[in-house]
Amino acid sequence: MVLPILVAAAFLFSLTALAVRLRPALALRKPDFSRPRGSAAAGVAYAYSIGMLPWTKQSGREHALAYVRGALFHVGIFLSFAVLALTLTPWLAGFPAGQRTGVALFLAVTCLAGLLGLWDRFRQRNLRALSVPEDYTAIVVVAAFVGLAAAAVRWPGLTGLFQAWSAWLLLYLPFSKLRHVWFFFFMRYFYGSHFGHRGVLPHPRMLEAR
Amino acid sequence: MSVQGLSPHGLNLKQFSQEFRAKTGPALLSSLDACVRCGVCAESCHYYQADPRPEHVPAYRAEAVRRILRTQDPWTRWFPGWFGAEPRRGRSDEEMLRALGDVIFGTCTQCRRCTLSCPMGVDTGTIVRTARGVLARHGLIPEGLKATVDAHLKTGNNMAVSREDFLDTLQWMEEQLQSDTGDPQARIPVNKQGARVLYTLNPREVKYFPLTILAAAKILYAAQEDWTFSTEAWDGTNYGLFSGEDDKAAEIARRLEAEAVRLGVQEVVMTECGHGYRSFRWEGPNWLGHPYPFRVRSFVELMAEYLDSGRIKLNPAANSLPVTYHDPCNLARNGGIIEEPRFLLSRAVREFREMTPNGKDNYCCGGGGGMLAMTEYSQRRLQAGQAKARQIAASGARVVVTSCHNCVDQLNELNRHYQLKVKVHNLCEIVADALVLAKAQRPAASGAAAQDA
Ligand code: SF4
Ligand code: SF4
Repeated sequence: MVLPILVAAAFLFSLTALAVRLRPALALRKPDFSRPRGSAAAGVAYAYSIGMLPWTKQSGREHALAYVRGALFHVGIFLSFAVLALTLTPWLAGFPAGQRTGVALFLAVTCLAGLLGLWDRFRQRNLRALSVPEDYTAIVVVAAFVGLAAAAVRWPGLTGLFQAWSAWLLLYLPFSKLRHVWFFFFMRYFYGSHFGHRGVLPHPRMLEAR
Repeated sequence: MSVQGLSPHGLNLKQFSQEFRAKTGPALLSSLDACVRCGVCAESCHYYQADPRPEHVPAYRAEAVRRILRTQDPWTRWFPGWFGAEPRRGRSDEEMLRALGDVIFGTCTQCRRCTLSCPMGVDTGTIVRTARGVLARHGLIPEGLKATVDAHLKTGNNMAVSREDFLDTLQWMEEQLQSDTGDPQARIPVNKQGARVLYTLNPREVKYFPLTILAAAKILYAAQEDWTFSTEAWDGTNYGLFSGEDDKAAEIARRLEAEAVRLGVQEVVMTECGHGYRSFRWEGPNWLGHPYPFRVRSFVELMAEYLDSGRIKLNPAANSLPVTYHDPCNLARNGGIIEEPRFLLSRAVREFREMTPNGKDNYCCGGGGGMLAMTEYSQRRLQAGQAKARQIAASGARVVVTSCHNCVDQLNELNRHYQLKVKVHNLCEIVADALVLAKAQRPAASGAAAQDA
């Protein structure tokens, strides 16, 4: 019972800390006084949908493998959070063993995708130059989280270890680059509304007058 | 290299950080915290295309700012090295900030191409601009850029053109307009109260390229527009966009706004100046904190409207050489003006060839970000234009058209440096040459053809 409470407390801490980080910036939020040329709402819808497809961007086209690898890792991370939530309920044990093994295998693959990202960070000149020490540890912490989620799904006896690691991850998250999980959603919103307002995205409009 | 400029009196890392944070709204904070240093934005930057080294990855510029901020971030400063704070390496605060100045003034044109390419949408251009503003406030700004902003504030235009020279040039162009159209009543109106349109200029037009004024006047004449210049606020540029000094940028915008209100115009039309358009159309209302009581458009939009509504007619036979169009970053990626120039060119030239990529994905020519005012970075600027030079060469076009005076200057330099053997023109020159004037309005070369001559 102690570990689920610890996980819940760590989760609350994480959310609170991230909100505290954002709060001073929110005070500076101002409306955009320029007359719109396009639609901010359409830009936001684009940013969260088509605009996330890799082939809509040069970066996605030129780094397709890194995109696939990163997407896989992130699917694994979100699935691991779902697993974590399930471990706090009695339902996980109710899943058939075959299904649990399948999920565990998938999570293991996504964990491997994360570790390949770590390998790239060591190997590629640009990434080495951009990286700070925490970039490496953040991947290790999260890959271990996904790996332990896989293990806990397959071997329920490891649930305690998975929960303890999850609590640590949640406590660490606000101080780490991992907080991008939160800021990603803000960023896409601001990106979409900004370029949507200016009529750049989703597609340019001719003759503003109409 | 590090930025020379004046002494950053009293500026230290702590103060830099505080002043930067004081400008950090939620969008900028998201840009600071959302980057995962994945590096996939590398190829989106024209600096990287020309010289693919880690320092030219867009995230590297933003990281240079973040690294300074991390030295003061209460969340991570207990383990600064671990979380990527800038190592001191025996340097003083001033030396560290001068090194930062070199990165943010010297290697980014704030074109925001990387933003469209980033999977998160990180706005490196705005991070760079905000940091420039803090350094500039303390005098740590390249002299040329500072002088350009200051000249605008002091004399009303960034090249310190006198009122007499301005009026002389307009008079000369008016005579030319009358001769070209065969209409002795053709006018270039000045300070006309209640005109529908207030038209602005880039001072380089008055000083070096008056024929672009004539080309614009001819189009406005053909469309029978009710328009005017102002002697009080005619410069549409605003280098405060590049220096990052919001207060100065706001003052420049305020003067133009006040003059438009005084004259009672319905709209302000920005000459073909990319950053001037972006500054006044998009950023100005936010610098000033209120919407304008009039409309603002680029001349490109107005010309497209004239053509679309039949107010002007064009004959493509007047421009027979193959033409390509360079999208100015501040018009296309930062303002959505992408289809209008193509619509105009589809009727004004015989053969149009697209560069690849184009539109919002165009490569910056390297002349943005105030680079033309910072002579210490000239070599870098020319090198950074390599991607654009390659695009132009690949298009096979003989004429490069664009809608920005800074782009024209940079493209002309690229033309010489990379021996592209093309002609570079503003869009209005091409349109003016293709104008089909009514009987009384005799056509004559005033735009591209006259510039070439
Ligand atoms: S700016 Fe975007 S693409 Fe570039 S490293 Fe950061 S997250 Fe990756
Ligand atoms: S804004 Fe433009 S010049 Fe600056 S880093 Fe991004 S792509 Fe490069």
